[in-house]
Amino acid sequence: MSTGQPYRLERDARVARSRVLNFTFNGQKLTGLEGDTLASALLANGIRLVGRSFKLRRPRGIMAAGAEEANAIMQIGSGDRAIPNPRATQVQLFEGLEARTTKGWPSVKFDLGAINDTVSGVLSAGFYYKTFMYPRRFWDLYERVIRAMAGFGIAPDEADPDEYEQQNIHCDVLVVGAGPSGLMAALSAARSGARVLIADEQNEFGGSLLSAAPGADGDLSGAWLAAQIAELESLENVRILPRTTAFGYFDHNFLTLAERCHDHLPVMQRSGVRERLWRVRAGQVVLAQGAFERPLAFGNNDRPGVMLASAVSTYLNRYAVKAGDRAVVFTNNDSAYQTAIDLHSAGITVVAVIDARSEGPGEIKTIFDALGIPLMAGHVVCDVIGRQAVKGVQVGRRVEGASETDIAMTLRCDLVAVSGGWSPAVHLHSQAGGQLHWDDGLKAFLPKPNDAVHNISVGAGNGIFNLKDCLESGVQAGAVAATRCGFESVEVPLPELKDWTQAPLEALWSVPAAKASGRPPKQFVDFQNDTSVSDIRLAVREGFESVEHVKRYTALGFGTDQGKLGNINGMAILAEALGRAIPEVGTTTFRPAYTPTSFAVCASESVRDLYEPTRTTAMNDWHQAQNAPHEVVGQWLRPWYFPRTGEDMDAAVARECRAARQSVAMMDASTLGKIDVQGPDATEFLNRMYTHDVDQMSIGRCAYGLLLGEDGMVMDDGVMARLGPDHYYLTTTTGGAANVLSWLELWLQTEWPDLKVHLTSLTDQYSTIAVVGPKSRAVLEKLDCSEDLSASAFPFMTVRPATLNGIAVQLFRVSFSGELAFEVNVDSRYAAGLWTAIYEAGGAFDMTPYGTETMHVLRAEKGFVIVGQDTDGSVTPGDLKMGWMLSKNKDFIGRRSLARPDSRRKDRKQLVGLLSVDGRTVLPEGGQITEDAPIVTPMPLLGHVTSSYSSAALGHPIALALLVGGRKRRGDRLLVHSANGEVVPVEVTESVFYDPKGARQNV
Amino acid sequence: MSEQPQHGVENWLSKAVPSDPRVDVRLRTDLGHVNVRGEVDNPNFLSVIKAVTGVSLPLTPNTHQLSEGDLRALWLGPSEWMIMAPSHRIDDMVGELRTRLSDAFAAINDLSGGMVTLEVSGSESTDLLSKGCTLDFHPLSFNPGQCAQSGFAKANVLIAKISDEPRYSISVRRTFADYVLSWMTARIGADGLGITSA
Repeated sequence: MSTGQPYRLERDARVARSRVLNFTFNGQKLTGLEGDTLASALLANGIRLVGRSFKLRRPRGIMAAGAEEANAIMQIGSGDRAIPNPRATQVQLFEGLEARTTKGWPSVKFDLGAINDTVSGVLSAGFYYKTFMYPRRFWDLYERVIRAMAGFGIAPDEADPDEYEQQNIHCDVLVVGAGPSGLMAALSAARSGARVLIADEQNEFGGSLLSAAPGADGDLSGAWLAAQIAELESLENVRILPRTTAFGYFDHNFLTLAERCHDHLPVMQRSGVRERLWRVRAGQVVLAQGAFERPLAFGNNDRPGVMLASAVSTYLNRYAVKAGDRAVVFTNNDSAYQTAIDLHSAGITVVAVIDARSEGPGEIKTIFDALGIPLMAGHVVCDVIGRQAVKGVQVGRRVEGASETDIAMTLRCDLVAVSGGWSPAVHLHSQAGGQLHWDDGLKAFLPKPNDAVHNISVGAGNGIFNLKDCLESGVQAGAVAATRCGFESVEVPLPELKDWTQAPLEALWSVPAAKASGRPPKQFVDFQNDTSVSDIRLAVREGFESVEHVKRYTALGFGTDQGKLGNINGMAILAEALGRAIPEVGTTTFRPAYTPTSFAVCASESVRDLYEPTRTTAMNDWHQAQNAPHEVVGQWLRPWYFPRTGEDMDAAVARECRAARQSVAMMDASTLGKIDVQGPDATEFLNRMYTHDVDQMSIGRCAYGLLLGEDGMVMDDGVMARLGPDHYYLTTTTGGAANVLSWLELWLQTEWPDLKVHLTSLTDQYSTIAVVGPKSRAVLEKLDCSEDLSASAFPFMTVRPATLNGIAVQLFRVSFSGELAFEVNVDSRYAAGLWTAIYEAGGAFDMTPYGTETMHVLRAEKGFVIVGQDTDGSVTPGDLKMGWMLSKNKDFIGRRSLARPDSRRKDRKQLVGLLSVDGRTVLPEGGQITEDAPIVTPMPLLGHVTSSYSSAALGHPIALALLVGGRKRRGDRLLVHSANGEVVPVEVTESVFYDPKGARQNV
Repeated sequence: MSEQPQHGVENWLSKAVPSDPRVDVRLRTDLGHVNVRGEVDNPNFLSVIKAVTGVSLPLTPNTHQLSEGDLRALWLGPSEWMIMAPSHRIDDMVGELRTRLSDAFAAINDLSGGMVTLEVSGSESTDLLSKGCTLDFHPLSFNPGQCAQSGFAKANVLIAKISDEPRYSISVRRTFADYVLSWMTARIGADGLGITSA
């Protein structure tokens, strides 16, 4: 073989021999073949040492061939496309792949951290909890050191350059897993006409068939498998998703699948979406995820070269890679005999099969015996010789009930293929809320059928380990699932297969150790977290009983593999130590994600510009042309201020404020929420919702409206206009628009369905142009206004339908600035045109557009609050000095809460004005208020600054604040503290700074 | 009134239309929208709507009715419908409905300035909808005559299937139209999305 891959065999397999791929491992140039995983390519190159364990830094090798791999945790690629922590067993090899180990410094072969292993006697379970508690002030240091030691790969600092997307999909039957059972389920459901989706995490469909010895008796991995896949591909009602992991199973048969679209391609050939999130809503789910082989817990069972027997077969049969030259097989069940047969037929020496059972295997013995492989029944492997690689094993006789045994012999080998039985992958079943039951024959937790969630577990995932039965269970489940979805099931003929009788598995949760002086070697249970049999027993001695507590004390089942390899063994050892039955101890909770899933695919396209919708008003183009920067207000982008050449924000705002106070200015108030209310009970309804006497409003009147929560706290405010006897128009705050509509609908639909009221949102329909200032009337008069705008004909707080330049508008005389002002509501399609017309009509008065900042200054000068800025959900109308807004003639939402003692406390936080004593300092918004006293921390906090601006009209800064007992404190001196520690002396004032009598707006 | 009505999506029409788009979006700025509220057990309400507009309000949830002259009525709720019709018909229609229903418990609101309707078709249109919306658009469950209110990405939309082709009508608040079109462009790619006017 010229590939330079010394462990690659010349035999048929699922790798393309002509397609040699170059890759690097820790900088070393290596080759593999198309079809390889990174793990199979490393093994083909004879690389066994692929990492260091988490805590003890012991050398570790590849153990598995799939998702359960705990040791071969890699860093793939570099820069912004680096992928931390994929399992080498699940990384498909591509030309140019760069892989690095994630543990081991200075190198994986020579790791200084391995000192931990030498002192492992003190590094037992709970070491961190016991050691780093004291002294407490050292924790900062401890944490830094522990964090540096812990962890695996490194997440890139750069932004992810790739694209991700999500796709919703509905199907009748979702099949998770395309092994023999899953394929049959998909086919039988599909033939009945159901919409079928079948997903498998691997690049190729076939599951366990892909690992079968080619040409062996009953081998379906060739033409049969190809034909099944071809049929699925040909059916229009089937969608097949390879490289797609079902990682979450939620309520109502909603599952999330992550498809890896191009990670298997050379970087230069990648295009489009990297990963796709499939959000699947399935009528029925067939779970065909297979089973994980369990390791056995014997001394030094973590040495590179100790592997799962099924993985050894997979590397041999699927990838034509031998994991070693001299193998020992150690098992407590029949399945590993197939591995021994596979090894033998590939020309690899099988030194012996060590079977813990005294009786040896079942029917497979007939084939096995003919091969002449030595069988040592009733024996166990109790220790492994070799440190960075297996050099041999020590074998002892198994004595029932004994925890130690004499070493009977030492066998020289470089590979130990281990099988401790099989654990069905019940993860998704459990995520969906399904229960498990313990099968004492199989020594495994099996899914309990769960009709409530409409899923069916099949094949090895349901404890069926015979290929013939697997195929049958798949066909049957597919038919049942399709029938439940209303389709008629169809016969699916199955190939003739022999039914092998197996000898029962024998539990061997911890293997007797070799009798020796000194500390016995560690028997690992959770390989990634270095949890050993003795750690679990220690936890029990220290009083831990619950499996969830033991998990957290020993780290059993944490990490990237989430206990796929070790959990069942660990729970069984825990049960033994507690003297309880395994089902009594139970399992830890299975949670999404099944395997590590990227954050990016969960966020999918909701990033950057598309993270949130941005909404702009109909006049936005005009604002942009004036170089007005945006202020982000929820989803809205509103013009902030309109700078003239050379102006900064302060200068622009001061100029805009002056224009509004002295001449005329205009602002885009389109973002206010607007609700149309109609119906014979509209008055009654609004009277119950709002605090003022709605029934006292005459047609054409406007009123300031306050909406309280049931707790009596201010929820929203706005203008209410009565357009007709049964017709109102409400405005809400920009941020409250959707909430207020829902709030009103909630009461209408759930509490008072008898009230005849219709609500319709008009927020987008109307754009709002506020024309503000002493000259505002004069400007509108220039626009061919259909209405008499004089103070007597069109008084303050009224509304009129009108036309401006022939365009229909609702014209409001309301003011949020304290000046004479009009608000023009116009069909948004004509808003930009009307805005320009008003701007031009105001030219003679130097019409000044202004943004949100000036709006804030103008309203703060008047002491008008912004709900959500000057209030925070704990503020009553009384706190805002708005008690006058509360009708005494009727009931309204929140009224009763205002009678609670708490709502009447004298020391409630109340709205006040604050002036900095120096008359120059603009107070920091959010700044905390204290008494004017020597600063000794902690000192009582009396409230905070809610709004703060410099006021051009007044010539000094102003602020609003919520202050404990504020109303009684006018004239008091207090301190305001800013985040940077500066302290500003302030004086408490009234909250209305400008034109307190309101004369200016009422002209 | 010389101003041309603006829907806030006009800028999208200046983008080049690819020669072979996978998704076509027609901006139906020629359509007006009227929100209709009323009681189905009031026979006068239903007959006035029929007499004035020519369309029978659909009473089956999540369905829509097409009538002569490109006029469509879509079910929104037990007492709420959306009527979409050529803009030039809207003012008269709204006026007449309001007059003739002035005694009924009904509300007629012109939303023509607040809604934009996009017609989406093309080989990948169903796929595109499924990326943004959780509903099942398979012909087995969503067919011409059906409509639904749902989310598309993070916008609320009213989606109707208007032909088997397939062709969908997607109505969205005007301030979300730009976001929806940006989202579609990002998902299909500028080379696959052809935006045209009605």
